[in-house]
Amino acid sequence: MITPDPFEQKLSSLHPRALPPEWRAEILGRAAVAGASQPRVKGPPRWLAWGWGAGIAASLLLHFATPEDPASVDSTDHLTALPRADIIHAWLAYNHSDAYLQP
Amino acid sequence: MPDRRRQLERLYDAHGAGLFRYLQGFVRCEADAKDLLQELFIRLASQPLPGGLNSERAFLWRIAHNLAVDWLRRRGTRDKAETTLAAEPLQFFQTAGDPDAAEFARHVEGALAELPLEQRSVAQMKLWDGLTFEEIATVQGIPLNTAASRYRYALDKLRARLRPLYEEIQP
Repeated sequence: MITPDPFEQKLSSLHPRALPPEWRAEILGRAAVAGASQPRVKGPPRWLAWGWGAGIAASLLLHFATPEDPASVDSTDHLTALPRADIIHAWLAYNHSDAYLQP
Repeated sequence: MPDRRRQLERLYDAHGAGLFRYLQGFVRCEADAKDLLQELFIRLASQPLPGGLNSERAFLWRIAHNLAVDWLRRRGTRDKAETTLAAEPLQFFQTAGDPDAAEFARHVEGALAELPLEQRSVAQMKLWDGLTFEEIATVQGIPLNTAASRYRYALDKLRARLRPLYEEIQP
């Protein structure tokens, strides 16, 4: 900490003028009015915020639940893998045979 | 809301006069400086002081500095008459009381008016508003060493200008 020299002290000892007392009420009054009339920054209504939140959550859920590579879907289900006509023919052939009557 | 009002009153009482002097040092006109002070307090009324401030004083003076710089930019090029007027000394100090002190104060006002704005503003903040060099650097967005050297230059010029009178009034 540098100690001020006598000249600095002499300068510092001068008293700056005070503001006119009537300014206080004027400036603070105007500031209060202007501050009160400022539009408050409000968020969206609560129901809308919840709706947006739910929508975003659903989108994220679907995004992460869906595999990125469609080929990776398990295709080992033979019923769905076979053509529908082949299934029908196999079923009809089985019903019209009497194989089920054999002991 | 009453808390906000009380905070504004406290800020005005603690810093209003210093902020006004700082603004007046830039705009050199009492009415314009008052308008800028009003604008500053409207801003403070519109949004609270941010939490965790290192220096409330530096924050306020920084707003004042920005307002003053914006004002100077808006004014743009001044005509010669205004520039001449700008060099006129402002009544900066209370002059009631001791005639020697009043005489010294008038000379200091004259010497301050002759300083470049960048030196005068730093000297004002340091000598009469008690800001540290760190705070002054924050206010004006300058390096700490620049703030210190501007103060030193200002002090040297004031000393040279006031030396005859200063020696004369030494006890």
